[in-house]
Amino acid sequence: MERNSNFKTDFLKSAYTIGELCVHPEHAYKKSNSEYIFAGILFPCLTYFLFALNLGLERQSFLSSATGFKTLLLVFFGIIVGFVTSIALTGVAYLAGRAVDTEINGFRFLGSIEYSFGFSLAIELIGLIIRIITSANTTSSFGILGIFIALVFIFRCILDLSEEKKYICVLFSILGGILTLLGLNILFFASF
Amino acid sequence: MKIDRNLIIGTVGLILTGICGIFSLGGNIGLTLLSALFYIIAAAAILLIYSYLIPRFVGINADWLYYIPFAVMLIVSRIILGWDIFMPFYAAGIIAVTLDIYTRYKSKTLQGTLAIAGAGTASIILFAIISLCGGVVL
Repeated sequence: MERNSNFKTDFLKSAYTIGELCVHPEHAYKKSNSEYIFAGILFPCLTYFLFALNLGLERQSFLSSATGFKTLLLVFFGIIVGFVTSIALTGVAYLAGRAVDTEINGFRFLGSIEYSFGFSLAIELIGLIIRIITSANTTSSFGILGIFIALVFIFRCILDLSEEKKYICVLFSILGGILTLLGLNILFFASF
Repeated sequence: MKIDRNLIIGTVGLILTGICGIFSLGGNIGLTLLSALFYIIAAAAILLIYSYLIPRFVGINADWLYYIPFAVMLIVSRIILGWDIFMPFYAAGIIAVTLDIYTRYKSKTLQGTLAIAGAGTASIILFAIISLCGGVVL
């Protein structure tokens, strides 16, 4: 009974910490617990999973060649793109840190990038629910906007690296944004 | 209104967004020109809100550098990738600027918070209405 109670307390504590990190992704950098960073990889992967599912459902509604299997492949590909994008954005942030002489731990910064997708996941989920209920096209309004909301938090993390050399940080933010666009472009034009 | 580098960055960002918005418009030339005029008025109104009214109300000026990555991404998506999507870039950029003002706003009174949130919402709705009237699919 006591063990069950401890499990509940630990679970609620972890859920609260994860929720707090989604609201303040920059705090993830201070977390030295690697389990939060490993668990956080679910956020970009699930965000891109829902985005690709939304896109796949949209294709099925107007493309006769789009089948359930092809949608499944697109969704799987979406998860890979989400993972690669978060790693690429961390790489860009690391390079930005080197350029402005701010020493950053790439592994911990990955945590901040991952938890930046917390709000995006909620927006993608809302978009998917609206699509299922109303059959409206929500890929642009919710899908792309959701991923850009994550970029808002990620760019904040990059721009906060240096106050004096903010213009250099902006250039690296643009580079990160273009990499994200390329990832989305691959999903848009994937010939599955 | 003090003309500084920050304001020039904001103006350039919003003009670039407006130009991309005009290219996304559907319909005849008259409607496009009318929408272009409204985009210019909307951009001026947004600059007025963020760089004059909000600083006077909550004491914090908008940092338009947070908007620039989204404006550049919009141009890249338009010219290089050939996307016909416009509103998510603008909305994300305005959210970034609004969030930055809110983060730097220390006293966080209810009126101040509502003013900042209201400015962000109004800016997005303003561009969305012009785009919808001009024939952009949101």
